[in-house]
Amino acid sequence: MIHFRGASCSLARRSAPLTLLLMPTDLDIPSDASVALVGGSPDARTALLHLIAHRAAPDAGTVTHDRRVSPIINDERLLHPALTVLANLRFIARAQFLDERLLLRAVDRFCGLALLLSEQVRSLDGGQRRTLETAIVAALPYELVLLDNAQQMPLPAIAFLREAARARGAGLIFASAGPRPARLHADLALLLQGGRLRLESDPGLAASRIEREAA
Amino acid sequence: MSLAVPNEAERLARAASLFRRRQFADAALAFAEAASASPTATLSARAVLGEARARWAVGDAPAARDAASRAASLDPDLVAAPLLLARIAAADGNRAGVITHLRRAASLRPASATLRARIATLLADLGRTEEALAAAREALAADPDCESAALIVARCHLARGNPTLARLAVARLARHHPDHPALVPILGARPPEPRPEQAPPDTAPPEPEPARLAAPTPLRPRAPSLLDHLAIIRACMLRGLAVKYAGNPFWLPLELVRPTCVVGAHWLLFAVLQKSMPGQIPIPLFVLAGFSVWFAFNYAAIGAANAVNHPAGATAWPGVTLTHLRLARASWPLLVNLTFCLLATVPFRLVRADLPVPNLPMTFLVFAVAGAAGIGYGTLAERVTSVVPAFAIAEKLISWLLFVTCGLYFVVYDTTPLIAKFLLYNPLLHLIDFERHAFDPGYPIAYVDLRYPAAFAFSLLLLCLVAGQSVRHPAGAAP
Repeated sequence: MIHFRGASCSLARRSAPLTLLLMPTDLDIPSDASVALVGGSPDARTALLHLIAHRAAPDAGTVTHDRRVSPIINDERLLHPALTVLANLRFIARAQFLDERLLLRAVDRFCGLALLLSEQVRSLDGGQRRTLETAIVAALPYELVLLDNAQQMPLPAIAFLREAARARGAGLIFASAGPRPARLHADLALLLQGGRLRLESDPGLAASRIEREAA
Repeated sequence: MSLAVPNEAERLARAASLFRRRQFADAALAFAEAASASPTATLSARAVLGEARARWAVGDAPAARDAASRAASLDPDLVAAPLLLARIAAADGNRAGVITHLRRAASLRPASATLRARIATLLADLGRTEEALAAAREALAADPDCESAALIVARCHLARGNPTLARLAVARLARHHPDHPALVPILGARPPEPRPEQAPPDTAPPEPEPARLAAPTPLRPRAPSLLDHLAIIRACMLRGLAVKYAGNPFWLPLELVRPTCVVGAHWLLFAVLQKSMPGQIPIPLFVLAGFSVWFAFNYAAIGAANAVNHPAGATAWPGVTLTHLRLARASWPLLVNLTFCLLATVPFRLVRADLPVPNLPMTFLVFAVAGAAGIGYGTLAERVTSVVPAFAIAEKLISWLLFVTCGLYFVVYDTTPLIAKFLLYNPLLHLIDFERHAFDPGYPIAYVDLRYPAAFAFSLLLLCLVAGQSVRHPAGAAP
């Protein structure tokens, strides 16, 4: 379980007033399910993922869990643009204490890297880069996988990520601006509305609510 | 024609009367007669459906199926037709057929949770877990209190190997039906009565602000070992080299070109100037010890400060922190200059066999302190500059002062006592003199003390820790 205990979060920018992203929240979120984070602004969803990944601290309260969390896919840069795909994979294998060849094989099985290994990451297009990042994260033994802006991802990639997570008892939390990934790939939904975070057992309903709100 | 409708209604009423009197064979014929004479498709469909029911009642399944199919095609909105077809299919043991007909009926009755729950049950029985889960969720959307749908949700989550979600579904069932007999066999024991705030808020109306939950269970601490940290620093170091040299096979000689040129140029300069050296230390060793230590400190400081500017995705990976990047960026120049410092003495020794062997423990100690001081200085300067950008100018001034007064171009023993007193505040002067002493034991170290630069380095690192703790990383920014 991921425990939110009185956790609140705000966003301060120089050119804008302080924005409250999350009101003080007490919530337990299953960490072994596929959970869609819908509603709220893109900043709020990203901030929530950062809180869960412990990459940022809440303004007040705590966010705790005992899961080994993946990097947030499709949020920030995961690969060095000046390095080749192979050099990036080598670094990840070394830094995550993995066998380089096994990692290569696992990633290749998903996205067919044979032609891309010697390419610089900066020469890949957005779709290729996202797919590559997804494949790498799916191949690594994380207990909780985080994905931001799921609406930009190809649906099969989310399905693959979900299956890979489920196969090892890991959870998947993905933030999405659109309702479709939530409907198709979530067991539960985290609904963020007006700074309030709620757990919905029916992702379809949550997605519909978001659609109605947007309309 | 105006009398056709009442006549038709009479025929239908007579057929229905026969059906109620359980004269099914006669009723079937009466319904068939009424259907053939019906002026509208709706009335005809109802008559054909009556015929189908009567045929089904006498056990003529094929005729009943045929009639029900005709009724469904005559009036697609007639929900009773697919329901009868589902019953006939169920009697045949055709579960897939039942599901098909029930789905058609469910599409005609969007608000019927029972129909959807039935579909979900059948799908779950067939092992089609995902479809069953979707159907059960549709049923719950139509009726949040639908207990059979909640049970199917729990069953599906169990089938998918997800007991947590199964427990949530059971908790939901327990909330609505606390005495439901199905609760016990599902999870082996009756789940505890859930508190209102623990139940999933899965119904449409928003729920009130939940009360504070119980404190979570203690978390498992994860403490990476020292070897893990060293492995990460090595990975970051190799990554930095890969970026810098992009597979160039001459990367190592290229790393040594700069210090070689600098030391060589200063050797020539001092030789031309015929500068006298204290303790008769050879000029090459004097220059080599001075610049190696200075480079080690300076590049360690630059590396530690610049690591924050170019993480390029490294710190996004769990376990890899900015501290690892700082240490990696600082450690490499430290290693290069230490190696250069020791390797460069070899050619001197070939020329002058009387040169003493360098004091290796002291050399390692001096470089360790220089590296620590460099990391501390660079990190602290970067932290302060991030808060007060104007400090960048002061930092340049401090670096320049450290360079000018560290004794690269002069010897503290040749200066006046007053100047020497101020020069000795520079910790690098102490380090450089000790390194010269490590190369040549005759070099005097009367004025310097290694504890001073060590205390300086320790204080800087301590300040870095305090600065690191005091900076809160905003949400959305990597720490």
